[in-house]
Amino acid sequence: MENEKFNKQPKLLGVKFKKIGIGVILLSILPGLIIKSMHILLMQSQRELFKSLSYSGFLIGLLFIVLSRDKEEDELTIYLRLTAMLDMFVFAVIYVIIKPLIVLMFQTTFIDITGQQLVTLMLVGYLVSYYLKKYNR
Amino acid sequence: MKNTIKVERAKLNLTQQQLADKVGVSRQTINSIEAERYIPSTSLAIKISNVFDTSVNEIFTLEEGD
Repeated sequence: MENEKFNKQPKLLGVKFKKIGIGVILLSILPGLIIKSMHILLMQSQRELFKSLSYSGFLIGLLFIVLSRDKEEDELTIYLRLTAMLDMFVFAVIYVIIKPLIVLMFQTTFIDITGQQLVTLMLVGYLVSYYLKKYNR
Repeated sequence: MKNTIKVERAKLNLTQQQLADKVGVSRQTINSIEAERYIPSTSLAIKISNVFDTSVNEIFTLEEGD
């Protein structure tokens, strides 16, 4: 059929990107663990740069996993992906609204997380929500 | 939305997996449709009805409130 502009399936990465994503996450975590375990001393600026690079690698790996298609991808899995994504958007909005209130009420900063951490939480939350829905479908 | 996929499958002696292969979805998707947990898209509904050689209306019927 022509003019199926809105009927196309979303473009996802190939199945192999799940493994690539896991590899990228491991590669971004391992150097940090090695440096810590071998007690290698780094300058403050080096440490910050290293931390930032590791975190970026971790996020890219997570994104690869989130965007990679399943072996059996069909309209139901697309629907489950959408609902899992909506769950995480709702969570993020509620978090942003509620956080200042809790900080004000309890004078605490324990729930104070950075933007990067919120994105990580959303990606991990999406994966958990999607796979829970998928295995309970 | 009610459907008679299970009955139609039984008539043709088809398993969920065989039907899934014919219409190009996973077995779990057919299972979810049969259990009325998921309403299929129009194109999938037409593909399913084509397998059973009946009309979509005969397989899928609206319930009150749908």
